[in-house]
Amino acid sequence: MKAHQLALAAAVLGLIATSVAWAQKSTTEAIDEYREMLQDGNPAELYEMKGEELWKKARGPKNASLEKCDLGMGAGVVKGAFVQLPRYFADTNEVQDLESRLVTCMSTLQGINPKEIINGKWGKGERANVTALATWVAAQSKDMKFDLPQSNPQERIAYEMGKRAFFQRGGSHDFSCATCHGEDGKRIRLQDLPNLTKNPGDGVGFAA
Amino acid sequence: MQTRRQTLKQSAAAAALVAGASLPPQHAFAFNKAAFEAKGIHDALKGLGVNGDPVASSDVTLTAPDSAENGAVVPFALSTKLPDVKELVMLVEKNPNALVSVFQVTPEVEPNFATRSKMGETSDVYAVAITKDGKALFAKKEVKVTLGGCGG
Amino acid sequence: MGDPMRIRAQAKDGNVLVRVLMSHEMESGQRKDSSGHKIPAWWIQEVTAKLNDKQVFSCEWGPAVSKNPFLQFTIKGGKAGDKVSVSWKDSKGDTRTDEATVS
Repeated sequence: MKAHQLALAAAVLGLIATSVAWAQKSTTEAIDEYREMLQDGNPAELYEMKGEELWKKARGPKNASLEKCDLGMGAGVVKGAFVQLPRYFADTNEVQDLESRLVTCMSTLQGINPKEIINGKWGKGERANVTALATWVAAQSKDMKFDLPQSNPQERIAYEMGKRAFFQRGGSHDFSCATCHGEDGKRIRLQDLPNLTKNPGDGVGFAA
Repeated sequence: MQTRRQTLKQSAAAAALVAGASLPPQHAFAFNKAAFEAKGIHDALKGLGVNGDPVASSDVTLTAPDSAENGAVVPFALSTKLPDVKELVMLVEKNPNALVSVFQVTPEVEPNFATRSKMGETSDVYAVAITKDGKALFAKKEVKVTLGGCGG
Repeated sequence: MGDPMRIRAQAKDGNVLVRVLMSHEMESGQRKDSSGHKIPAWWIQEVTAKLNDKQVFSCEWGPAVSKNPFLQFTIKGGKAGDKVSVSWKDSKGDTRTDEATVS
């Protein structure tokens, strides 16, 4: 009698496990289908349009455009610039990422006060302009592989600091970035978590 | 136990009483305030001039995802094969106001429209074709929402 | 006046497929700001479209339509070179019109 009951219990558990696996598979597929449906006419295109207009428009106290801004590949070169940032810039003697380089250009070329941007409200005014510019500049490097320069000692230091920060555990949950983003195939609820330790990435979410 | 139909009918009756007491004047402008501010599906359709209960029809199509990762942006397409349709309308049953959009079916366009809507929570979504004589025919689908899109 | 819309109009099988992305907050009136007050509703109420100079499309929206609304519809007839113009009017009375050429 007991063996029979055990077998029955096992069979039921087996069925439950299978149905749970079924449900999980179709839900992830459903989310993929949802994301597909949003590809065409993605609202990011509006930011790209705005960013392009801001790059070319004469603005600020110096009434100049950003077309002479050096994003690391020479003045005005935008295509491919995003996948080489952050990098070292001699004129500021710093390693800068895209947003901070845009602020440098807006201040030196256009005369816009950096404090106005840095202290501004998120999503408003000049801060929103930086977001739009960054979206457009990044879009000009679509489908390109990240290829950061490491020729300058400051670039190498920045890389090593970033690596240590990525794997450093801390905070209330004793998590590091790597806790969620250090392995393939991880998920939180219905969001697939990209593995950010490889280049090229696994193609999940933001992992190019 | 009271059926959902009974609850809907009762709340519709109560809402109709309130709506009747404070109906705003109709604007010359097309915007139908009463329909868009109605709470449930029944009242929204009434505000759009529908008489009688809506009837399910395979000639009305609602294209929607099974699950929406972000309830603030849920893509929908409505279409119909029926003749003499005046409007194609979209409603989300559990939203604070059920009526989302009203598309005029004019002879110059295909009766096929797509847009994106906010959904507060998992809910039935309806595509309703309203005919010239005020009848409503619908298709519906349950869309699961993992993160509600109404804020708060 | 708002920010420009992105309009794509494609001639396809004797019709024109129109896809529009509009720039608008579409505030539902349900959200609360940091001090707990409801942010007032503000949304596009009416959208119309013309093919050359004839109105062909019209719809009304409630505040539940998503922010930066996407809209797709098909105009019967029409060909490459025709002009499609899309106009919206919002709950504050603000309006915007943008045009595109059918490709």
